[in-house]
Amino acid sequence: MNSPFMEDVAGEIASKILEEKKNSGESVNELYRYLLGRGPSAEEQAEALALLGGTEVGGDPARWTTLVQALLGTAEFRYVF
Amino acid sequence: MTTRRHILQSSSTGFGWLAFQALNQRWAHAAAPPKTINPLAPKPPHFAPRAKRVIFMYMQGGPSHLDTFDWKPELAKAEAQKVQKYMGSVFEFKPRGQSGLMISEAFPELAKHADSLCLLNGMKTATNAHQMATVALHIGSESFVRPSMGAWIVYGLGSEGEDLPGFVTINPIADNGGAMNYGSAFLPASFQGTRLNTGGGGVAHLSNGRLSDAEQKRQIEFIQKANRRLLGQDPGNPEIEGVIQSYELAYKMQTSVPMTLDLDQEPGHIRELYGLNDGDTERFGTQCLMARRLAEKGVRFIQLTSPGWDHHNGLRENLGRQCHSIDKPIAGLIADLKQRNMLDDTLIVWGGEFGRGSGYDNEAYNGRGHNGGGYTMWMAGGGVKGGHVHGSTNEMGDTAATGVMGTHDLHATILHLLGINHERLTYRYAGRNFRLTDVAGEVAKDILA
Repeated sequence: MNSPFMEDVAGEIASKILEEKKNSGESVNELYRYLLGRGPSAEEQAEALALLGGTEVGGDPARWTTLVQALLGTAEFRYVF
Repeated sequence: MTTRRHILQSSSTGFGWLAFQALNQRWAHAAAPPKTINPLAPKPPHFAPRAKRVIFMYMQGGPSHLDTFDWKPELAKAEAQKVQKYMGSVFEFKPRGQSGLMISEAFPELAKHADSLCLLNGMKTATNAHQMATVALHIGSESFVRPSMGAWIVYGLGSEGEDLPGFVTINPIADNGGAMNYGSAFLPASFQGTRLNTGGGGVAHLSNGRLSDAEQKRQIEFIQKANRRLLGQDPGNPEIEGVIQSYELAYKMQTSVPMTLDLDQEPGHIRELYGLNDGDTERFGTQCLMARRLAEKGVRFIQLTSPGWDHHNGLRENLGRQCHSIDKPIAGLIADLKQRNMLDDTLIVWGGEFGRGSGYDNEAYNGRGHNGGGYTMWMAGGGVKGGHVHGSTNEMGDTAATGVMGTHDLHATILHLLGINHERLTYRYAGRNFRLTDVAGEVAKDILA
């Protein structure tokens, strides 16, 4: 989780998502589809937005990196069940 | 059908959630609420234990017993008469301490603690191959994937360290079974060994430079919610439970590991005692001092590894150098545990996967091959007799003759000293109960103090 590799990868994915300049809700949907191959549930969407600290368009890239890093750390991403 | 287990695990007040909530409150308040469900919580032993914890010093490659702890004068005579390839000890043996244990000059410092050592001179193992013998020593089986000894012990007893793993292995080998030697196999993942390194702060990427503590806590909570939801879809999945528990522990280890492993906190005379100021002994000395600090924190099973004991040739020089590299560190650890009144309830176990043969191997009169049929391990502290020799090899030193202890006997004895009946420590998997000692194992009652 803390390795520079994880942070770099998370940062790259975050900037890729942000480049598309969608609103945060749409970006979260896209991020889930990109990483987990499915859209988020309403609950997950809310938790993700809470971690981002707001729903404004764009947002703080550092917070997006934190969200991407978190998703990369979930058991769902790490293992194929 | 919805089971009780399902409800407990998947509802918003499931076990994982309870544990995490409790941790959260611990972080938030100094006055911690009582601990809830924790797989590593201490569990009562079957009977009164003699040892609370184990420090297992694994000598990878198979150290020669014939040049260190098993004195065989007949071998020297055979060498003098050039009988076959027999080769006497390359080091001189002397009686040590009040007990008069015969220990070679390869271990001058350790020999000063002879009266604390219990030599197991009748050890044997089933094979002469590194991989199989190594794996057997660690997990009790040459051929199948099984939980390791440390995993069984933590499964049986839990751990007394709250913010550290119950089973730690420092600088483990990557080959000859590798992670299987400290794995948990079919036991829950929380019982597997956690690898620490002597360099780089112990654990790679332990510190988080980017997020504040509060930010990271929110991030981990986000991950744990996602993981618990996944567990809700597959209740009881041991891998997901293991991931959830490992995140909880890893978060705490960000603080506890640097604190525990900061050897700079030790005063100069202690660092000197373990040989940290000498390049020859620094490596193993660091492991020994880390072991003491982990033991003080309540870690149940600590394994240290010294690689490079496979002396088919260059025995005199290489074995001498190897012994020197661990001699002062081990003596320092024993002395330090004694002065802290910890040796009585800390069991030290020393040895390799097998010993060495009585004849020379690749180099005339200066190398020995593998020998699983008879060799030496030793124990100290933790309820074993000091200054004691248990078992023996035949007069040429290659076959265990009396007090014979095989792998299962060794494991049964270690469990016994920890207060565990090895026949009762079972785990049900694939339709039957498994044991560390399979269907064998006898406790070496003669060595109990």
